[in-house]
Amino acid sequence: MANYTEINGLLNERLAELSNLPMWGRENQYIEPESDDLYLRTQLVSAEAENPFLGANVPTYESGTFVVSVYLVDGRSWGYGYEWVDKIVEQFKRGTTLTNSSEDITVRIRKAYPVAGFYGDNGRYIIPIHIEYFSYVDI
Amino acid sequence: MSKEFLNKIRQFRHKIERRTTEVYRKSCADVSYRIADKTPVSKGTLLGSWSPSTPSRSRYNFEGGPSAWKKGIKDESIASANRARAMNDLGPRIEAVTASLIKENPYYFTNSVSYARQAEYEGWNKTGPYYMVLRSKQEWYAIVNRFAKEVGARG
Repeated sequence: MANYTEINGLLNERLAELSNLPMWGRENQYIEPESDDLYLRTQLVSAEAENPFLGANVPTYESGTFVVSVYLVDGRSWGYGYEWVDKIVEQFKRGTTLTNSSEDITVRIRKAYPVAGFYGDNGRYIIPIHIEYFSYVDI
Repeated sequence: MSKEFLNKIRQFRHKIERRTTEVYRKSCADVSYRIADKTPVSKGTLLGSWSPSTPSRSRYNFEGGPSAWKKGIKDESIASANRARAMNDLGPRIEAVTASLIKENPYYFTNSVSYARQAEYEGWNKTGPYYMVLRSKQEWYAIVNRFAKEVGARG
């Protein structure tokens, strides 16, 4: 049974719980931010599923990284951008458990951290945040 | 303690160290090739500029071939030739550096091309991000497990 819809859904819902979120482009969603809008983009980068234990009916180990990229406003202070980095990392802090009881799936956050920022092709400074998760999913 | 017993302990220690080093070398080479495989190629500059090194970081500037993009369309035969040329340069460097690795030293696989992060996290209009490092990193434990089993199975 594939569960990427549920995993991605839980991670997106968790991010959506933050108040006053800036403009946010989900996967395959086109957005048109103004030049003075800080905005976010998200993408699920799932790792290859594993079956680390013996037995035909054991759960599948699903892991991966939910990437949240923060696009800063050109010329505005770095502090404003890192406020959002801090909020997002805190929202996904280590040990956070996301559950969808109707689908019987639990996603656990292993860790969340920003990586070094860079200037993208559109001139925006971008700070990607890696949110590493894992889940045991029934076969 | 008898001399024979001490010799056996010493041999065991050497065997473990030799095998650990072998797993480390093979795993580092494998993850480097995985990153290279996922690296997008037009001219091959990005691919050929990956720099394997130890014990400190290094830079390598590779000059790619002609662009594979012509009027918004990618010519895969040009890209393929540029990929082969870049890998002919990169492959021997990966082999040479990983063959000399010792487990006490870190292994670096770096890229100083200005659009490396653009390729990793953003991509371009027609491509999307490649996540060449992130996706390979996610495969790291599986790579190490595979080589540990392979080396350990020799008995």
